[in-house]
Amino acid sequence: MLIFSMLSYRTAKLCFASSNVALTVLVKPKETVTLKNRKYSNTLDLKPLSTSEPGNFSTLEHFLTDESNPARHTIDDVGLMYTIPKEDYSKMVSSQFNTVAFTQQFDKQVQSLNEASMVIRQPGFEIVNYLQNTDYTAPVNRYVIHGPQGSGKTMLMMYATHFCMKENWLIVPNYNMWSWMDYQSRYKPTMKKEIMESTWNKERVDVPHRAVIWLDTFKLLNGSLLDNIKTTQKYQWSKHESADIGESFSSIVDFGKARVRVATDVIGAIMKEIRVQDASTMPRTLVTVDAVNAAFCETKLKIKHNVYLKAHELSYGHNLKKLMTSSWTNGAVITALSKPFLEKNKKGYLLPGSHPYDLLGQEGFDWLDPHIPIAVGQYTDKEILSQLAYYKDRKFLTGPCLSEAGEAELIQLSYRNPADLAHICLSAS
Amino acid sequence: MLVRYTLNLLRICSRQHALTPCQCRVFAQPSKGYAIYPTDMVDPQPSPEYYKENLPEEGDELSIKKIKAASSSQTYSTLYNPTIDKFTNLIVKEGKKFAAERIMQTTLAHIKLVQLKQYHAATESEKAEIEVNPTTVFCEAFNNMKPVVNVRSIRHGANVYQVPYSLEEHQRFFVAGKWLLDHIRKGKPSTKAGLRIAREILAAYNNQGEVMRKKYELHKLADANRAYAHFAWKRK
Repeated sequence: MLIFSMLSYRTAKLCFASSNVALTVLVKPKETVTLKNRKYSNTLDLKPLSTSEPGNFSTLEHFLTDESNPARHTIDDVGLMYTIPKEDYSKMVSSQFNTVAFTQQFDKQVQSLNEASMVIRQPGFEIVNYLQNTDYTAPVNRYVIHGPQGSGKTMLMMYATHFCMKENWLIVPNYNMWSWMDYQSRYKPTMKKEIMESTWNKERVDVPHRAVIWLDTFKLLNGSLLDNIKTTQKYQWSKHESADIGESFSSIVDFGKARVRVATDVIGAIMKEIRVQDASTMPRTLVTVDAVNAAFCETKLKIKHNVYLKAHELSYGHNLKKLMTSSWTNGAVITALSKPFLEKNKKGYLLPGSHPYDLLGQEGFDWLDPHIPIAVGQYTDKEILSQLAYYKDRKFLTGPCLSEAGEAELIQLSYRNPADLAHICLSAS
Repeated sequence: MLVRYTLNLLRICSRQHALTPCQCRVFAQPSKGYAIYPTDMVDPQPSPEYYKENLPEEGDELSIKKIKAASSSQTYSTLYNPTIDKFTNLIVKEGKKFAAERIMQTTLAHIKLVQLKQYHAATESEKAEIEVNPTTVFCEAFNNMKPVVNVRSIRHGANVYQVPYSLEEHQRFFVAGKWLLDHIRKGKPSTKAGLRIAREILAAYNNQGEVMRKKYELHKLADANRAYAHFAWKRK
């Protein structure tokens, strides 16, 4: 099985044959925009704004689509930008609960420009196409997004969640698996967490404070959808408190937020209901896990001296790993890899490569087998030019950077890496 | 080692005044800032357009005089700005310029974010007045901070007078930069150094803040003591 999956990275068609995706034929777009011939191109897309500045091609006329729903994006929109509506973005970001859904640089950009817009990319379009045409009576598909650091794996995952939000799916978020496994929060290092023995099973460990934040984000994301979902089992939280059969999800979530001790058990109950129930009672579900390779290595939490817990010994990790199996139907699991978290965990140990097998390890690769690999790379010519055009239009870039030499320098310095480009443009004039 | 050796040589030379004319050309004016280059050489310009526009003519400085070697930080990059590069050199501690550059990046980023937030919240008529480019904001604010005069205490008879004297361009830059950094290094370490600089710069852009207050006080003091200005030429 392992060898089969390893092979499938080279020949992608093999992997599609194993999964239950009804493939649609993807037509390759005409690549009219290239940096080499940009000076002499006569296409409709490329037009210099003024004749006084020839060669200033960071100002494309058509770089933004009006369509805000990812379901209605066509192959012509790939490489252009689109804006996420403010109502959707405020649900997705949930920065009030100290969880960063998008990247930090993107959040800064949104704060200043007062609108959230991102590039529509080929792999994102591919995932949405798969999600639209999958047979949901069969077991769930697992998607693994992989690529070099800063190439937009997280942003691509958020593009898929935006699609599912518009289709009224139930979304189970995990914006950063590593944040469960460290005492310190990554985004707020002064905040320390407490761990305690689980009330449900004494062999496992709870992180109650983090669990309450998860319940908050879960409620904000799904909103009124939780009122219609009912439980199919009686849950005994403690001696006197319990949830009967037919109680709605929203009441359980509110109970978990009020009782911090029980919050992790509530998460477990929610995840169990998703696995058990049919399509008739449960809406279609999306499980997103960022930094999924953290779920298959040691944590930094410990109860005894010098004995570190493993991810499945956390009750949250145990339940999430069950969700990541293909034992349930009517849903999808989208995971993204990240390299820096794993390198941080093992100090002084550099990974041999960025191949998914190197990052996930033997255990992780077996767990997610078979899966659909989705590779993300650096920006193409069309993507980077439309991004720069957007920056100029919103006054994010001004001054000498907009000349032809400045544009060429930005492209060369960033190596077309989306994160590096955003970082350089932030301080550039 | 080589630089230190030459500097020591210069010091010895300046004291003994026993140089031959040939040596004088090599170590010209050693007492003034330990200059390694002779005075008749010209500073390099960090833009290719300068040399394209000003082609050498007969009797021109460029045709006659030699040009000094450019420092390693001077580049033809479009991201390069000479005033910002100079200010980063002031921030440097223990020769860690990379850390200073990162601090400078955060200041420019923060200035840009604050200005852009104002720009997109404003109406169309107000938008023309708001400056978005962070480097121009930084340079303008830094120009506001620069003092014109400074005060030096000179003893005359039994009294000590605060004697005002005019500053040169490089001195004005240094005094303003020193004030800014002194103020910032008193701040809380929990906030980033880059953020602290940016806040002070944005205040100075609107003629407010701690550094601007310092400048106005100094100008007031110099104005009060302008009667003693002639003591600046007093023989010691």
